[in-house]
Amino acid sequence: MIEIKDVSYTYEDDSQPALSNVSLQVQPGEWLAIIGANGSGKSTLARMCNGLLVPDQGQVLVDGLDTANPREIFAARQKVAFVFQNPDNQFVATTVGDDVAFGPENLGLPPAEIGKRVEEALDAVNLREKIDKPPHLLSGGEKQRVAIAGALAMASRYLVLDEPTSMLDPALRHSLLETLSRLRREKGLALIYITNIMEEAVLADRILVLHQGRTIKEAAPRQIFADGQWLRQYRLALPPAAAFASELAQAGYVSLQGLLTVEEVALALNRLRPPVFPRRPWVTPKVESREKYEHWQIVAQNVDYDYPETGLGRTQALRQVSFAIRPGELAAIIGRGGSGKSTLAALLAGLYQPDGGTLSVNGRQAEKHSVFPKVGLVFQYPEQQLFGETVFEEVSYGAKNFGAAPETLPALVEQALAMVGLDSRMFSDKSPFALSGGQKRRVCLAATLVTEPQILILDEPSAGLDEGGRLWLMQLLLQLHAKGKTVIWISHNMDEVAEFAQRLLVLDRGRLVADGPPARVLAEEAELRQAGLRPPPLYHLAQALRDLGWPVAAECITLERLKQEVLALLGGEPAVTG
Amino acid sequence: MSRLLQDKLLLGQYYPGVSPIHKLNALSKWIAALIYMIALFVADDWLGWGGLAVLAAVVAWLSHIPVKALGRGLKGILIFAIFTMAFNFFFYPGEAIWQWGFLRLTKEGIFYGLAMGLRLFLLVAFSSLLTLTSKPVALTDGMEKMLTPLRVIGLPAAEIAMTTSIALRFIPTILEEFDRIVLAQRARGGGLARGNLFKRLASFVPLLVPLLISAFRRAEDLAQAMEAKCYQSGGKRSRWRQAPWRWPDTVTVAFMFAVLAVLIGGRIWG
Repeated sequence: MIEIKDVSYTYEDDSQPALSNVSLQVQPGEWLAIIGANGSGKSTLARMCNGLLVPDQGQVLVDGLDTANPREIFAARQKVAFVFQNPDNQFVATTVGDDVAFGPENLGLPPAEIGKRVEEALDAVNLREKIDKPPHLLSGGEKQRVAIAGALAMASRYLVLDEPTSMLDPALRHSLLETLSRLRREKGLALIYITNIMEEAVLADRILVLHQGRTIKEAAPRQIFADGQWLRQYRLALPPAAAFASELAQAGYVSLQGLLTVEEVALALNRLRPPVFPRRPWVTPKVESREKYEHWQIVAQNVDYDYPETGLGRTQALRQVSFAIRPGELAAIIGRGGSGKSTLAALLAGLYQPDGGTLSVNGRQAEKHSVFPKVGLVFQYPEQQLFGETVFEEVSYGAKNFGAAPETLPALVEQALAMVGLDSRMFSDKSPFALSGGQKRRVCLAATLVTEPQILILDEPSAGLDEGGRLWLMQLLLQLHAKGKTVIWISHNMDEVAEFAQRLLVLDRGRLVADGPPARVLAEEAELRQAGLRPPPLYHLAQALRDLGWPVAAECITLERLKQEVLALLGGEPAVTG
Repeated sequence: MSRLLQDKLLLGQYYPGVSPIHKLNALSKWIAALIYMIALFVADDWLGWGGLAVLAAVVAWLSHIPVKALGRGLKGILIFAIFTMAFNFFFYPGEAIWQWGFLRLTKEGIFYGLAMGLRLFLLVAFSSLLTLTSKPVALTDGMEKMLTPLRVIGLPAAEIAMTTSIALRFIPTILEEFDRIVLAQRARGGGLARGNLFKRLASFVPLLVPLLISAFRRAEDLAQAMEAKCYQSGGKRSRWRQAPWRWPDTVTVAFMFAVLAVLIGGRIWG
């Protein structure tokens, strides 16, 4: 058992405590999820579990071993393995096998025993054949599995995972969760799982909600996700199926109150099923006519791009990519990790040039050594590219480079900061490095908006943000769209693109495999799976209802649309429910 | 840009193979490289340098590494060696045989220039053969063993080997990162500026600051990951991979000592 007793902790340079009086117990074999907004103390609490941090006050015991006692810390650490958020930065050795062996080597085990453990651990995560591969040739999901294998090789009983899926695409995320729940069943491994994704938290036996370093609530998922209103004040949200159930409960179908999973919601709805469904004509989706638009903004015709073959990144080549985008569109690009999404973004910005085919943006052809004017590209985790001494320097950099006159800079910067909700009087002179994670992201967005792009391209702009941050970002994209800008963003979150995008481009292994409205694209489960993706969570609810005989149309993949459909089928007024 | 950088850096690039050189224990290769280095500076005539050049050629041939792969990595050092040579040609004091302005070509300069250039080139070529034929893990394990005797003077052999191993592990990651930062800043209209030296240096700031910060963050993350796996600096560790010492290793080391002995003999009595 891991016992955290009344633990408080304050980081050296902080005035606010990261944790205040947190108590917690984790039993062997249990699955505990820890949720909370960015900066709520989740990672700090996780680091308490294996003595990476030692409490200022209170005590942490791992099977009775005190992590504050230098003589017991190593025995305690052996029992509690850790998987970090960034798969790249926890890979110590130059090959998979050596990395898994690293822990047992530190324990001083004999070589034969280490070899046995390495092989068993890699078998358990299905990575035996990669034993001699260097890390930069693995996918993010594989790296996370190597990290889990490293934990197994230590024969740990508890596994702490700090947002392990946040850098993975939906398919890899799904398979990592399957691996974890299998290992838990087979090896009785306890999981302490930190996440920002509510669907993942639902899988746990118990959830701990943290807010500003304090435990707000610790209970079974059902109790935690009973009240969406309550969650929102902690910048959290209901998982999609529960959000849907809660909406229907508010519409009068109270028997759906508090339901959590897709299966539950589908079955409860089915109990309310009216005797006869209204007949309605089958909606045949309209095939869009190939009308000619006078002014295409982006035209890609048979674009090929061959990335030079080196160990540099897992960048995918593009093959015969053709599409066209009108001014003012709001489109998302989806696809598994390494499908060519970022490559396409770089091409659209003019950072790369096509090796075959043609690409024109705003009527200009791509040419070497010049980016497309009036195209802004925000990179993934843009805060990793910050350099300025002040926010002003950082934000004005782009405007200056594109030739803005020095005297216009203050106004431009003020405007750009205002767009991302930051007051330039308060922030201009601050160091960007002193800001919180969310504020840094805003500064980076301003640093691109300052160039007044007509086309804005964003590579996974919501990655690493909590639910509150994600909603804010999506509102910003909608605002920019409303001002007539073309907005194209890359996403791994199917829920997000279902709700906000007007058009989806799906890439798979460098080819454009689908292009159309989200309701159509995301309703093709088989095709999506082939492209390494999954439909959004509510698609599964719609599917479960269809399996029960409900004529729910395939394109009902957002909460609003599915709610309308189900309410219509239920026949308006709620029946008296018990 | 960094792709170029990576191509030029042969160091730490393993070229997989099953040649006799690949099969040698990394420790014997380290010792051989060390002796070769000493030998290069013991040798003081063309016979000695020529002999050592032939030795490097034979080892390259035995290693089955294609000349092209070897040549690509040595291009950088070749340029450096030529530059060193030219510098010595013109700036070494001695009897001038040709003069133009402040440039004086001297007889001694030609001799030392050629010798320095050749030494430098051979030194890097031979040590490249060591890294090209050894897996990074074996390389750092061998390095640790070679440095172990120096522990008596307080040299932290295991830590040096661990640091080197981590550096090798992160070279591709950091280069990749550098590429990404260059692209990101170019998307904001930045990039390496042309113009005067000051402008050029200033344009480096937006590239190097994020790279450094990221390197520190990675180092911090990595330190935590290592600590979480019970790593202790100075702690006793065991090794999964065991590299056996076979008779060709003994022969190699003995042969290298013999070469060195001949060169020293040549210098004393020659």
